[in-house]
Amino acid sequence: MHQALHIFKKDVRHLRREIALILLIAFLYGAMHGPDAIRASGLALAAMAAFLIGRVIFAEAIPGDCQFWITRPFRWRSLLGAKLLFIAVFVNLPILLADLYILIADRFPLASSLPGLLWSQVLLFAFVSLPFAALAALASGMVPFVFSQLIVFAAALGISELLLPSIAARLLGVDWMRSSIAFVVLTAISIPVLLVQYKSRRTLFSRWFALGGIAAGALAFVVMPWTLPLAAESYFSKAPSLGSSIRIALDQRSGQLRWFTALHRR
Amino acid sequence: MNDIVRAIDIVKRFRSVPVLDGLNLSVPQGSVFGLAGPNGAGKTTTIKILMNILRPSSGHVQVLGTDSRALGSLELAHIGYVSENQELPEWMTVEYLLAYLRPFYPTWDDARAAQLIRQFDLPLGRQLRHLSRGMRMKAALASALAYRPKLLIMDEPFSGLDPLVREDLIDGLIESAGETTILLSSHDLGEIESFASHIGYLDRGRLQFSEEMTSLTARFREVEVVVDSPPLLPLDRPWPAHWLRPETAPALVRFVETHFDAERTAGEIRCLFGDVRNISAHPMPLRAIFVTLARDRSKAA
Repeated sequence: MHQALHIFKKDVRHLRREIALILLIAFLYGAMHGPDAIRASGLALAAMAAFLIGRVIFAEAIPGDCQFWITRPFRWRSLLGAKLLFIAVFVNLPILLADLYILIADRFPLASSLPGLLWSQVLLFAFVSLPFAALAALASGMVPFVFSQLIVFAAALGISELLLPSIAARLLGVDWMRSSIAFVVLTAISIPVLLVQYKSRRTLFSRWFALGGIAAGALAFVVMPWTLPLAAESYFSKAPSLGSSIRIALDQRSGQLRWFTALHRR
Repeated sequence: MNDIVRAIDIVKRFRSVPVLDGLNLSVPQGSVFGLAGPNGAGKTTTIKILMNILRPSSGHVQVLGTDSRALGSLELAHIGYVSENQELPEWMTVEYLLAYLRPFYPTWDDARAAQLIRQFDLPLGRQLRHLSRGMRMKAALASALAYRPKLLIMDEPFSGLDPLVREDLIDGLIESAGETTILLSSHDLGEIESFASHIGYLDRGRLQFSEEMTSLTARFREVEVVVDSPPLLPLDRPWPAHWLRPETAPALVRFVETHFDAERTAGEIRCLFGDVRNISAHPMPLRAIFVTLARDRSKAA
């Protein structure tokens, strides 16, 4: 713990300008009004968060054989702990504070909103920050890191928009469940990648593992029947009976059912 | 004397190209071991394997009694590493570098660190990125010697440095020699010769020999034999295998004796050339010894 805090303090000193910048963007995100301004500041905040995660991971880069730190007595748990602490404090916390400011400024009930807000940060850390950190731990520098993000983003967009229209799932409102499962898969890949990289720096193995995992996840995403996310949503729903209480009668003679079935088969 | 580093049958291939081919190496505790060899011989690869930066394709390495593949923070706290290729945290000042590293090492000695700063004349407030190459090497060496490591490994530390900086670095090393075992690779044989106690010669991925400097310099001699008449090359008898680079000129034979013993060598000369007018044997600098060996091996290949 002591070593992790020592490394954390070093990273804070090293990245103080970037920290100041993300705090400023988070403040603007919280203070701005109007959908366009919020969208722009939100995008800037996301980009800055990804950049800062890259910067802090590359301060002790994993791939390569010339880094200063690999011949020094760094404990891998301390190093990984320091990096995750940094991400939590300077990526997630500013976003949390900005969201909190929005809640207060718009007079939402704080007590009832806070658990959801905290939970959203947990999800953001697990589903977004960790995959970005894992990607940075596999990349040999900032440029490959940025390109990797673009490739992953383009692949995700391609799979979700081009390969799988998934109209049936959208009609039923369970597409978010499918995306959530994809995020869970991404996190499930990121955790072992981070552990292997920080413990033994087996970058080639980790890259193949990540690629294989993403490919398997993408395949599962494509072939997953919409009934599975529907079943999952029903299982997790606080009141699953509400969903089942709706009855939709389809007249076979009108052809509606055939149309629906054809869509499902596509 | 215990070996602080022991490598057994190390093979390292990059894709299918072998860089190390059955390397065996022992570095005695307390020694200053110079690992010499031409460019591409495998010196840097050897050192990276010792430091667990690279993994050997096969073979076994022990460093401070631990398998090199299992070197962790406990062992690295007693090992110093300085390399010409190392990427230092350039944003740090010299002062912050030392302050940052201090808690990592239980044996960190503030007095020693202060002495090294004075000795190397390090500018504490300057960022590493703004230091000259020589100063960066000095800062790296100071950060490695301040915790009095049991083993200091240096990869081409003098490469591209001016003579004054080299002298400063060597002075710093000499002061630590004894309590710290030093293994350094270099193709700059002049520097190694000035303070190494042991020497190993690496070529084409194999250690061609490894021995104490005193023994090496004692057994190599450049021998000149003056004869009365132009020497007839003894075509019917082979030259002794331990005579390298033989040259003949009118009334003169010259060669390098690799196992010099005054009486035995003189006996072998008389046996080959009969009565001779004069035999002189000159000690050879390390550079000349290595040039002789390298040329002999390339000729044999």
